[in-house]
Amino acid sequence: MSKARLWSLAGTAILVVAAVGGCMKFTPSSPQALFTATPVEHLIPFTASFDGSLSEYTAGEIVSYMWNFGDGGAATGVLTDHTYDEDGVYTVTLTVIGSDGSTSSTRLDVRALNPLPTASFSYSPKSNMEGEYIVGANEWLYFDGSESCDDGNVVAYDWNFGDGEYATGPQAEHRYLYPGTYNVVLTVTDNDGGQSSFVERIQVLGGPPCNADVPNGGTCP
Amino acid sequence: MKGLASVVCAILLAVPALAGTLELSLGGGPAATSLDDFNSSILVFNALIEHLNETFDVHPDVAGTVPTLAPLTSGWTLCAAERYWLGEVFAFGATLSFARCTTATRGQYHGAETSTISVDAALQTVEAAVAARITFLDVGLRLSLDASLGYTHATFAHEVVFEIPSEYPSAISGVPPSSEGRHTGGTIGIHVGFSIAVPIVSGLSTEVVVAYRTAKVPGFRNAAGESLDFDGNGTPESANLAGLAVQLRFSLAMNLSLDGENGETP
Repeated sequence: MSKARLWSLAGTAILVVAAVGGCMKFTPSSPQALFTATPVEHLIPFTASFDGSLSEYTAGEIVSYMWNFGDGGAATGVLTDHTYDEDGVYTVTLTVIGSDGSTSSTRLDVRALNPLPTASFSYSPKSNMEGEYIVGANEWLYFDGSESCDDGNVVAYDWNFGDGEYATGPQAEHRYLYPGTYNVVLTVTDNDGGQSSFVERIQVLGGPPCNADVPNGGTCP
Repeated sequence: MKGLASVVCAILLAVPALAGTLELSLGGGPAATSLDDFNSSILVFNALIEHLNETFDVHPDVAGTVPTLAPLTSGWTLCAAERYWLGEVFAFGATLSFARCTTATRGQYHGAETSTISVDAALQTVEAAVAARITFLDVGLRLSLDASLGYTHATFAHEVVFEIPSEYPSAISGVPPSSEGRHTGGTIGIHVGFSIAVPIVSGLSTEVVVAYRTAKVPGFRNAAGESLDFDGNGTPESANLAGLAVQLRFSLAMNLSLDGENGETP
């Protein structure tokens, strides 16, 4: 094989490899949508800030930023804010449009959290003995949970008196038959399903009951 | 597919009976492939990595940097071919080719905890095709046009870990979930190109083959039947295999005719 032929072949190979190398640079045909959000999880109501400036289009320029906040709200622009008033998980979508009309979208979930209700109750009658409240055994107590509160409405009150007895409603009556220490738990539920509990320890003094209607008959002195 | 395989087998078995010259070629070389879906995902990964690098480059409590990914556009091909020459100008036969391209990155950010970004991706294809060649100029250097039609089986393997340091003050869209998998797909593809062959000795020649391929794998699935979602954006990727390949091949020619002129280059 002549040198001329070899040089021709080598030259062709170099040119073609160079051409292939030139093809290896990837040029996107559409923009890349990206954004940041702060915060993405918060108690309602809150305002989240969105920044679409991470989006880019190397083959052109981005001419439009369109936001969908997932709760029916929408906006345009690189930077925007949005306030969430209702709890839920919202998918925020940014769609960017390139100068050639091509589009790209990206999504991120925002969690708007329901503030939990605050459970609280008081009870009476009670006596203060050396700085500690006590109640008498077999004495009717009146519990009032209506001081519990929420940003919406408290829709359920569940009482656990710690002696195996339960009740519902904002107010409840209960008596402890046996002396001892009991944890009374009030659990409140708000209109969004959020729950919280309040626990108070009650010290019951006195002798055991001596009534015929007491289970196991009670014990009389 | 069975039909195509039958045609290939029929051609390969029948042509020796025509008693022309059999040419066997083996070679390989670089290739450029579009793979635009995967490369769009890699652009997003790189945009996220660059943003994190810029953010933590000036952050007092976080150190580290992560290299960006090279685009998944370049690779290598290996090819074996056989062709039967019917006269001096026209030949046809079959090719079997293998191609592979890969990209990867790995790095960590060290803050209150260590956050790792690691991406590995590899696409490999195996293609069986029927091919034809027409020589249009033979002046010592032999110039020919090539065309082939065949089935391409593609396998995409990936592993993605993308942890954002807790010191980053916001949430970012487009962050891929951690994933790994091996997905496959297939499609019919067409090659067209040209070759320049130079005889070395009688019966042995070398050639440069330049070929453009057009083929698109519409989707990939794993063994469980799940679609590939490399970047986790909820949209399955396809693979555009269109691209240019250049190969250096060595060919051995054997005369199958009964007139006794073995080993002559067509």
